[in-house]
Amino acid sequence: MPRRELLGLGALAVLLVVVLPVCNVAPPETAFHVSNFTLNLFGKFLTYAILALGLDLLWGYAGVLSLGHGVFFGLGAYAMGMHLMLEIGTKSVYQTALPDFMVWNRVTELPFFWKPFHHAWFALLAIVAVPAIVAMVFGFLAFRSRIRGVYFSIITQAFALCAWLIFNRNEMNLGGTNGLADFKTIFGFPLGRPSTQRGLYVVTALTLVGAYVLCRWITRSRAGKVLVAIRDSETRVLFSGYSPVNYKLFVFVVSAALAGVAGALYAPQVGIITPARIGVLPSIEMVVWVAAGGRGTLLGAVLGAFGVNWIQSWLTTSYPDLWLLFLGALFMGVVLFFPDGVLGAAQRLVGRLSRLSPRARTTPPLPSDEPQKINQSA
Amino acid sequence: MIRAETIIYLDDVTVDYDGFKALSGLNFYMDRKELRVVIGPNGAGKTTLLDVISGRVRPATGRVIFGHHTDLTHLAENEIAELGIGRKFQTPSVFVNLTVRDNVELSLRRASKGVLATLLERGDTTDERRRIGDTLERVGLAAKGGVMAGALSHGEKQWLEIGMVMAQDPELLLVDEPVAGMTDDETARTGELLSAIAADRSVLVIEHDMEFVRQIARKVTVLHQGAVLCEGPVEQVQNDPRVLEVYLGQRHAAGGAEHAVR
Repeated sequence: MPRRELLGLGALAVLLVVVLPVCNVAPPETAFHVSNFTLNLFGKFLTYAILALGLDLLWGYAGVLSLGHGVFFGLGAYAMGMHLMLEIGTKSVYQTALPDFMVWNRVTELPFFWKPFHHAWFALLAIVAVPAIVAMVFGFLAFRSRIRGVYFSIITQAFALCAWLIFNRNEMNLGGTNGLADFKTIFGFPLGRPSTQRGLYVVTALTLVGAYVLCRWITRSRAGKVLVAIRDSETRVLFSGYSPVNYKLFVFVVSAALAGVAGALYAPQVGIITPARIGVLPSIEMVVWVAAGGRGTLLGAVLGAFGVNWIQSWLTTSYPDLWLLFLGALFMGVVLFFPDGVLGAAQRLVGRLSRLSPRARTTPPLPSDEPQKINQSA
Repeated sequence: MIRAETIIYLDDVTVDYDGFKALSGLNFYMDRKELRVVIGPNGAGKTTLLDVISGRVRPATGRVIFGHHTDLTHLAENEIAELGIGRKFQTPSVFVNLTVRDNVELSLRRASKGVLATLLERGDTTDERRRIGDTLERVGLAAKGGVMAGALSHGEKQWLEIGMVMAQDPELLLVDEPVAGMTDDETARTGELLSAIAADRSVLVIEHDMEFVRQIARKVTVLHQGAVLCEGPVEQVQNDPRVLEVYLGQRHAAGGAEHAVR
């Protein structure tokens, strides 16, 4: 990693992992106090940022646009949620060992696929493994049949719709439209306690730093160059002796696993996971974060996920009617005026300014280019 | 038919596109270190010939033998590339968002081009750096190694792609209309480059530009309706009555073809 990026990442990591939690512990009357509510909100944004990193790796580098990442996020969240539901045990409303929604649905015995989720280790494994395996099967079938570009995006969208419909069904024993909620503890720590939430926040922030390092390691390796090469000319990659199918599958699985981890950190912090987080719309929102922040930069994805959601949480409380209009305007604005996102626009501005200055330096060219590119790679 | 010095041998190859026979019972072979030019009117099956050899198209019947006994008809494109057959496309296809040097680096022949190997690589070895440098030198792009490939001119992109194919260290190079859209000066330099490459590799070139064909060709194959019409030195082929008829007969149908043979 270049020195500048390493310093920037270090500073950001210290801010997120150390400074914010310390400010949260500080007495409320101090000026720099961060409320429990705000810290929890940031924790949620950071889980989105983890997902956005994986999506950027897939779309910004390999040029594969997935409109179904909500599913992988949901799989991770449900895997965690199922463990949390079982952790409630007899402290539930009906005071049975079964989760409450199963009692309403007259389910008398815990379904077989719920049973292993009693074990924390199994739940933690499933958080990564389930999205990864689903992505591997789906990706293998799609990439092997040479489904690419907009066709791939469309079938991922259909995939998101299917998953949404399936998770909505009560017969699936996954809570139907109400999803999984009313979690009490996580690995024995009460979720209602601020210290537990602070701990979850710190874990999320650390995971984000780890995910960033992982993604940067991939993009800086030769495999990372192959990913960019696939976006530029898949045929050339193939005729250069590489198998684009394997590379696309690899990056698809990595990004699905990151989405699963993000979902698993989301569920306990937000306290509920429902099919509404899985479907077509949330999956598209995820793409908007990456596009708004700047594709193919990693940092842009993090900024986009954080920024768009922060604005959303502010707008939905202050101007609830305007939020969707804003989201639409944002996406159109980005496509029309900032095809390489906020970060890309900023970099171009810096580049232009430095060219004006007498000691002109060359700035590294951006991975993304002309405006049509969004449509092409979509 | 397969002799020790044969590098590629197509035996009775037929390619059928929904009833249209792009190649029909084609027999074609090339020797090692031969530079062969394939010409023919539009639709004669020239590009399909390259598609069949490089694995893009599976023939309905026939065998494609590389070297002594490797049948290529069941291999994937990347496997064929790793065996030592490089292909340069008609329109320049380079990685525009990577530097010129990275373009060549990715193309280098390596022990493994799998995901794990490229993830865990520990940078180029001295030998690899030398090979990259040599390749850039040969195609005249040594000074532009750090430039994004997207910023190159059309001619430079063509040379870069030829360099990328050379970096794969192939025994056989397939080159599809390398000088289309080039200036006269660029065309001449491309001819020199291909002739130099043919000193130690086999090169199969598809070309329309007869000026260029005369510059580089030793032996010319004329394709017509998916089969070989005639084969021989360029002067002989140019004066062959069958060749003239094929091209002149196409005067009205295909505007670009008739002046090709003059």
